[in-house]
Amino acid sequence: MTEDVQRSYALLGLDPGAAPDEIKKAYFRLVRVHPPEKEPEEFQEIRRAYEMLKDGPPVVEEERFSAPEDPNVLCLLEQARRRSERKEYRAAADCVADALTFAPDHPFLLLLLARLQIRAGNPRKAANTAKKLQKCAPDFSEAYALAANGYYASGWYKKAFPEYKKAYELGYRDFDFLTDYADAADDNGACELAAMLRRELLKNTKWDQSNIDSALYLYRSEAEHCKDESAVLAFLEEYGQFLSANRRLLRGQSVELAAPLMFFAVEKPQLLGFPSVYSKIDTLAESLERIVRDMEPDFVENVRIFMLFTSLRMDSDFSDSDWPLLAQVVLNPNEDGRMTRYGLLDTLLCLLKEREQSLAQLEAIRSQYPFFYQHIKEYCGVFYRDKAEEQFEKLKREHARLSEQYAGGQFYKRYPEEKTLPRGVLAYSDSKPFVRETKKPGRNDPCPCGSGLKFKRCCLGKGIYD
Amino acid sequence: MSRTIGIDLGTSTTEAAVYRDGKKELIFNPDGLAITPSAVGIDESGNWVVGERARAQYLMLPESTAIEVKRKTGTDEAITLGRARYTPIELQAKLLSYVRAYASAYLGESVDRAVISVPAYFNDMQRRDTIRAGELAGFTVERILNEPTAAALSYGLDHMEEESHVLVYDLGGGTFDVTLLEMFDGVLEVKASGGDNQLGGKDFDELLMEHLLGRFQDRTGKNLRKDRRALARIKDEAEKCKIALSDSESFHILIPAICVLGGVPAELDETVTRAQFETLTKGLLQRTHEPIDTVLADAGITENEIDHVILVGGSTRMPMVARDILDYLGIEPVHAVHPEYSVAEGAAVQAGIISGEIDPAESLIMTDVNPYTLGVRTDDDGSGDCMNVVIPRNVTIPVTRTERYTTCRDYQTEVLVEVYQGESRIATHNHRLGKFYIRSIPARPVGAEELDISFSYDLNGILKVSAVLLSTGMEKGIEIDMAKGGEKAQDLSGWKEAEGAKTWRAVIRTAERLLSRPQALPEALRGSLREATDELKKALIHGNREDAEAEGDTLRELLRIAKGGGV
Repeated sequence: MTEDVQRSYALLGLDPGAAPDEIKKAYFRLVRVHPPEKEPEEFQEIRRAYEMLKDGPPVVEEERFSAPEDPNVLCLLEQARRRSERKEYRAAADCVADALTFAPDHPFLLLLLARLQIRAGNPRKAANTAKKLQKCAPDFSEAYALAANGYYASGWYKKAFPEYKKAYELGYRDFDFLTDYADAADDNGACELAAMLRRELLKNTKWDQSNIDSALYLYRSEAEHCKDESAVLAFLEEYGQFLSANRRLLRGQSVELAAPLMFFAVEKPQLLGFPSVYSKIDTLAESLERIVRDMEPDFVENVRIFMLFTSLRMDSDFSDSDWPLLAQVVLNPNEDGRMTRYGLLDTLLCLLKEREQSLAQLEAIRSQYPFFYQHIKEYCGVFYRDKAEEQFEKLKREHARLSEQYAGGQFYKRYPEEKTLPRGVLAYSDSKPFVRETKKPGRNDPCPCGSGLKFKRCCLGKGIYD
Repeated sequence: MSRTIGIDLGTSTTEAAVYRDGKKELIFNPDGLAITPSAVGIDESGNWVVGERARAQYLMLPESTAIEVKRKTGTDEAITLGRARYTPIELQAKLLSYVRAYASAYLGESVDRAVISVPAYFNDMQRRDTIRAGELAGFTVERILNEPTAAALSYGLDHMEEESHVLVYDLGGGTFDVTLLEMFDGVLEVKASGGDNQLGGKDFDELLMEHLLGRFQDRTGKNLRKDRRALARIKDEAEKCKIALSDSESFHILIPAICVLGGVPAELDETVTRAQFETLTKGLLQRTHEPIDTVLADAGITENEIDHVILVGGSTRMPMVARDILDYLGIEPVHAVHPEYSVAEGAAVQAGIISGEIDPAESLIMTDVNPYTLGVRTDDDGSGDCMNVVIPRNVTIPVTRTERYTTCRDYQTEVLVEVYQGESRIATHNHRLGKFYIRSIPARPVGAEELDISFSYDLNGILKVSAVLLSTGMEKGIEIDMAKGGEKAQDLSGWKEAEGAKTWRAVIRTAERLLSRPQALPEALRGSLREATDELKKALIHGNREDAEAEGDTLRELLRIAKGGGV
């Protein structure tokens, strides 16, 4: 049990391991004694203690090894503890490494060192340390998990896989560990195993605010394993249930929610050809919309436009390589809205350039998938409109502005003649000559500073208007 | 010592209450009513009229009467009354001074301190303006209290022994608030609150009005939407109709001579059934679901754990509200408190606690949460516009949180700390509360220099932000008073007297001369120049030589660009 937890129990006047009910009682009793109005500082202390303990005492890992008794080691360990409290993991790891010179190959120190090295961003060193630890304690599962983590983070996927396997066999079941294991299995071609692990995780985990992101990631990965229509349908069904069961937690997510659906659109458009899948995705998109609607209206719009593009794409002469930018912006949750906008514009402009084909495809959708057409029709206006030319120019301008900031995109690559100089660049940027906004004043003109004097008697020679 | 009263300054009605002689007591206005319409106007002879008279006048003179001013609180939108224009603050102040006058008369003593309630979802601008209106009316505003918290206080004082989770559902005239509270041993803990500050009874009226106008137009072809007088009368009838439909199944609206059609007066004659009204306004109730979801998720509570749903606000008298809650949460809501008076009573209880009328040892203790996410702008994703959360919303206050940040460029020597409030992940979509610079950071590779940024938010809505540079221990910070509204605009005229001003006088003069000529500079350069000049002055006033040095250099560089014609 860490000191923090012990202090918290003491502050609430409880014995370690008190029941949640008692913790709550103690907290409310103390709030009465130290109301936030009168003693804000004390209240904050109490509150912090309560928050630490209220969901039951933090799960304390049973320490398998005990620290060596050597006073030098203890002193170094104390330093390491202080450093890691300040999140200075590298320095903390150095302290532990020093301690190891006093007690070579001590399992307690090795374990601590490996953990710190992972945190400090030294995965290779961590893997080596964990290997040593495995020698001292061959049946200790975390030793394998740490080695696996270290190898995987250093990019040695082949080496990591057997370590993951071993740790799993020895019963290591940490949440992050299992997600990593599933990824490692994918990388090593063990797709069945990966799918099994993910399904197990998705089934057994209770979602809350802290791990809901991982859930979405897991679904996204699982989508990749759907091979045929029935698998896709089963997946979509399950995902739909997940969405409706966790809608409260999912508020605020947006791009991430659509990622599994987008995946089908980008990577496996052939699956969308099955009407059953198409309509299933359509209903899911609707429930998705309900979740994100008020948070990010732009996003839903982007998804819709994207669906439009995807459907138009099937018969057009775009090759697959033309799509990565768009796929990346819609699928990558870390990009901001402008980047997404840029990706969408880029594709839209390409499609507009080939308006004839796009229109033909659109007509085909209208006749074959009316329900889908209903959804995208408001965005199809650009293709039909009489003023398509004007619209095109407007979009092009926006695209040109954004292309200043973001790389990639197909539009300029395919139609280099469209690349004109962007507008609105600040006058003092290095690449552009200075452009005078007004006429240069003549010597006898009234001075532009508004003083009423002639220019030659006022600002001329001060260097302001030259 | 003068009395402190509690005021529920609502969108459509205003109530006041006081705590004295050990009990909550409503304050009645000269008309003998506890409810005063929130209407302010100027009559034909140029005198101010407030309350019931102003509401009556609205039917005759809608041009010189203002209603629902609360909806504009926090904006600068001017409201025209007759020929003059007023700010929302001035009109709210008129209403509050009317309350102050009748409260003094009713209580027989001077009343100059008040606790005013606002929707929990009011942002800092709206809160600040409410305080200013109170001050204009001659009140010392002791506390701004969240309405659902007030309602819960009123409920809690009568149910001190209870141990439960209570959801307060407050659908008022103009705002919707939902708050989840935990009561335990006389302590009232707000776990989360949320809402929609543009949803209330008025929206129901408006939909009904729109329906009536549409029917009238279909029947006669005349569009009344531009006729203010007709609109005022229809609005009045629509409100009556809505209220009547809470008890009866249908309501007959008859407004004679609403306009003249072909020289003949035409009347508006419609019957609205409750079923019709409910279908019409179903969408509005659906808008309450999202805030409920958010609050439950933030509090980490499922609907099964809620013990009571308490209805507050006049609009909850509509039977469809209770039915919608039963459908959505599976809980039968209760009218445990008076829907119209409980907020004012709760404010009075808070006033009693503050003024010492209520013995703190025997009364309720309350803890509250911060309603908005607070954070700083960072460069996490390369866009330079990420909202990095330091204090999430719905955390119990007072609270102090610290986050560690690093530099994002090699050899970076200064960091701009910008403090934002809001829920968007893109910082600039949120509301900026303030900013400050950390300078003289040792030039080292990216990530090598670390900063600890601490946010400390107290019960009075004051946010203190400080940053410590770990390598040198240098510390800097600002104080943002959210109750008063963002960073104080500084008076910069004192820079001339500051130490070291001599060095920079020439530069500042040149810059100001340039700025005074609108034609001289491109807009972008102008902005940077003005900002740099202000920063330099600030640094001089604070006597911070390093900052002044840095700002001065920036300014010189900008001037060089400006003069050199952008080389």
